[in-house]
Amino acid sequence: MKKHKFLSTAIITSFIIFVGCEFDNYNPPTSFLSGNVVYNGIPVGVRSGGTELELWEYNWKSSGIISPAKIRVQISQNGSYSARLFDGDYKLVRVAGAPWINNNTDTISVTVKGNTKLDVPVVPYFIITDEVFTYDPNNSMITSSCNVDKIGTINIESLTLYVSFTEFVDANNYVQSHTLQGGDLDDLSTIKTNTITLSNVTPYNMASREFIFARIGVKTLGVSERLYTPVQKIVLN
Amino acid sequence: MKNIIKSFTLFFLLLFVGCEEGILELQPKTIITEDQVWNDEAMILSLIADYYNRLPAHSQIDQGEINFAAYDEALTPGAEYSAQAARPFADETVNNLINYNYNRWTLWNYDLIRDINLAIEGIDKYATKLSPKVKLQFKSEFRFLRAYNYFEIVKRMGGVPIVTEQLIYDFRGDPSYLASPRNKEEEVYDFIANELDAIKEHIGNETSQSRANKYAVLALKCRAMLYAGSIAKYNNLSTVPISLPGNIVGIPASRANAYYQEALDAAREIILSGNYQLYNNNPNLGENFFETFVKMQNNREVILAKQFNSAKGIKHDWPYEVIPITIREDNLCSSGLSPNLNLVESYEYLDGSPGVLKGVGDGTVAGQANWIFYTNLEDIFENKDARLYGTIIYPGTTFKEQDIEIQAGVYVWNQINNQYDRIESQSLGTLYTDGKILTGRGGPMRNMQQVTNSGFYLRKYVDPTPMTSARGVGSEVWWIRFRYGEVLLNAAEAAFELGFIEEALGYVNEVRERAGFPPNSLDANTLTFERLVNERKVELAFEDHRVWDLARWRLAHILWDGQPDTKSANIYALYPYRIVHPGSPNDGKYVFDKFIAPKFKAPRFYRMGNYYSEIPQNVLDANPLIIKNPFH
Repeated sequence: MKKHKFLSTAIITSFIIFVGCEFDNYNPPTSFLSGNVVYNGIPVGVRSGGTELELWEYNWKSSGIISPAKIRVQISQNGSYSARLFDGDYKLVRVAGAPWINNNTDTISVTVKGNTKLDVPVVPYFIITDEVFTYDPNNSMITSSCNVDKIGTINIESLTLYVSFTEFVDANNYVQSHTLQGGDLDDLSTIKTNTITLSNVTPYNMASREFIFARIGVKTLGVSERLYTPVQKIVLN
Repeated sequence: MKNIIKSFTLFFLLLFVGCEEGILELQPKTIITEDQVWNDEAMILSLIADYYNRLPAHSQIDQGEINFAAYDEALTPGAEYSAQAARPFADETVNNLINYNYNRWTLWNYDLIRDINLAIEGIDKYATKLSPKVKLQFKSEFRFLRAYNYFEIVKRMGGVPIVTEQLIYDFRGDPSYLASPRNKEEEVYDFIANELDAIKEHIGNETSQSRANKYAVLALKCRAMLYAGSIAKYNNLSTVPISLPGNIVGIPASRANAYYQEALDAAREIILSGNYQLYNNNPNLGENFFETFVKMQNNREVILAKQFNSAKGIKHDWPYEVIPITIREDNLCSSGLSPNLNLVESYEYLDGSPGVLKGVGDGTVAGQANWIFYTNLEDIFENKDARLYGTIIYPGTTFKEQDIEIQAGVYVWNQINNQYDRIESQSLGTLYTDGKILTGRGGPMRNMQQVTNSGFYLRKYVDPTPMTSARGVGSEVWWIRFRYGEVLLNAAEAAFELGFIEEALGYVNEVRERAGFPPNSLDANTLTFERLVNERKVELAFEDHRVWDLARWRLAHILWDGQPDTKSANIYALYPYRIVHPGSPNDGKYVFDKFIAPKFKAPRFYRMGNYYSEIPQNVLDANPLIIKNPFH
């Protein structure tokens, strides 16, 4: 009797330990959801670390109860994003506070199965097109021009050329900038397309540099985040 | 059979004995009934003490100390991490926040509100043995605490549901009737004002500085109404006012003047009572301002403070955390906060001119042309607002009558290049080859923990009592929640906004006179909004005002725009050097360089979405009526 009891206890204990191990160690997620945040199919440029998307796996269970928790997905400065996920059904939210017209109540459903691509469409307040950067070595001057298209109803606040020594160029990462305030720009509220030239930009300490990186950002009134052009590498010599 | 008889006997015996002892009427010894609590003043008092202690804190000398280093008053040089001892300054990430998170200031402490609601209901229902006066007094104090808490919530979150009674679930499976939507932001401020008006004559505690009395009630009302007024005014003046449908955040501009008037009326009532006055017990004005915070006897400036008691183990470690390394009394920690040059330069000269320091280089050879050669280290700070001395330990000053020795290095004359060469030591308290100080025992150091990184140390609130900076001793210097100086500045701002310039001048000049300015140092021409902004910055530095002030004026996103070339978004340091130039009249004199503090990399970035903090996800999940704040 006693021996039986001991044996059965031992068996049950080892069973629990064994099963417990199996239960705890599930595989890490392997699937990727990736893509770009796009307007008309073209990726939009943002500040690195500035904007994000939210993913919700709405069948996610915690202790047996469906309790969705959000997964924050950063958008990198060229507009791309990626998240490593379990296969399943997700909803994607475009978080407000970004340089595009707020649409955070309209979710996008996506089924992740293996590596999945999804481009996230947004409508920016402004888009910058046809940007050109030219370097004049005689005057150590960078001139840029671009077209700014107004898409929403809110007015422009400013347009800025940022120059940086590294590939990360935005309102937090630059060595020199030149800003045109909204008042100095042509009337963007009535005319849709405009050309703006930034000049007299002289990156300091440029003599020791072979190249720099530049970007133009447009700021919308009352919106913290700017929308940027793709990073442009400028060879100085 | 035997067993049955036995148990019957036992049963009857028990029954019998039980009856005799009156076991059914015994009072339980481990449970306190509602009846007992609400009829016992001592027990109610201990509840009140608990609720005072649970009031939300953001940056305080005993809680959230690291947050003092997150704005534009200071940065932290950091402290070694230790699992054994509390090190609020071990986390240096506050120096380099890419931006403030939307949930940085999130507060949703309805647990405290519920407890207070229960207390008010409990007193109403059960307190039969207390006199009506005592009952009313306790109820008023609970309502003060609730109003205080609602103010802390509304200044972070905007409009929130106003819940004033306990919510009871009926267990029928549908809790949705308990959910309430967010009230308007102005409704929350109105609720606070009405509550405070209703209780101010009944709260008692006449001479107390640790429990709220009538004047603490008025001081809270004054501050809250000033916030409401400035949000109403400045939100609508900004290019794109922040708003949500139905004014859940944002207050109509039309209400600004009424709020300012209420703030002014509350301040006037405190001022005219004559119960409070600015601390003016020490003829040395710098020391006097310092004593305002650490002298707890005969201090008629303090209206309400959180008090400590070392003997009972209620104490804080503020001196341990921030005392200069030169004079620390413990072998760990020290120097947690490095106040920055921007703040130092905000202190005006006593003639009223801007406080920018004169003759300062920038660390480059070209910058040496700007130098003024000062005979003594402290000469550069001569004729400045006495509050600078009272708030900050700057080069050449002492603390606890001990020299702090702040010197970064020496500049040695180089005859070949016709310029001075900078020499700094990698360790503290070193001597140059001439036998005099190279780098002082108090730093500054560009990359060392627990030594100032900016060239300044903090004086405000640091207990001067011997050994208080040692662990295990601790400090019992109070944390002031409301003081007369703030009330005067609130009054000045409200009066200024309402156009009562003469009245505003009276208040602001009284504050400035205590700081050493001559009488009537501001007049109708020189008193501007910017002047008042600066006055609050220098008077109320390190008192948990700056970030909230900038938010209500809608200045935060302008001053802290995250851009590397915006001066107000960066933290600057001032490093003193001794000149080594034998044979020259400048030999042995001192020069100063200023530059962005070496440990500071990411300019402060306050985004539009920071004005109203993120509502926690579990709140949104639980109550579908709650809507998100803008930009989230």
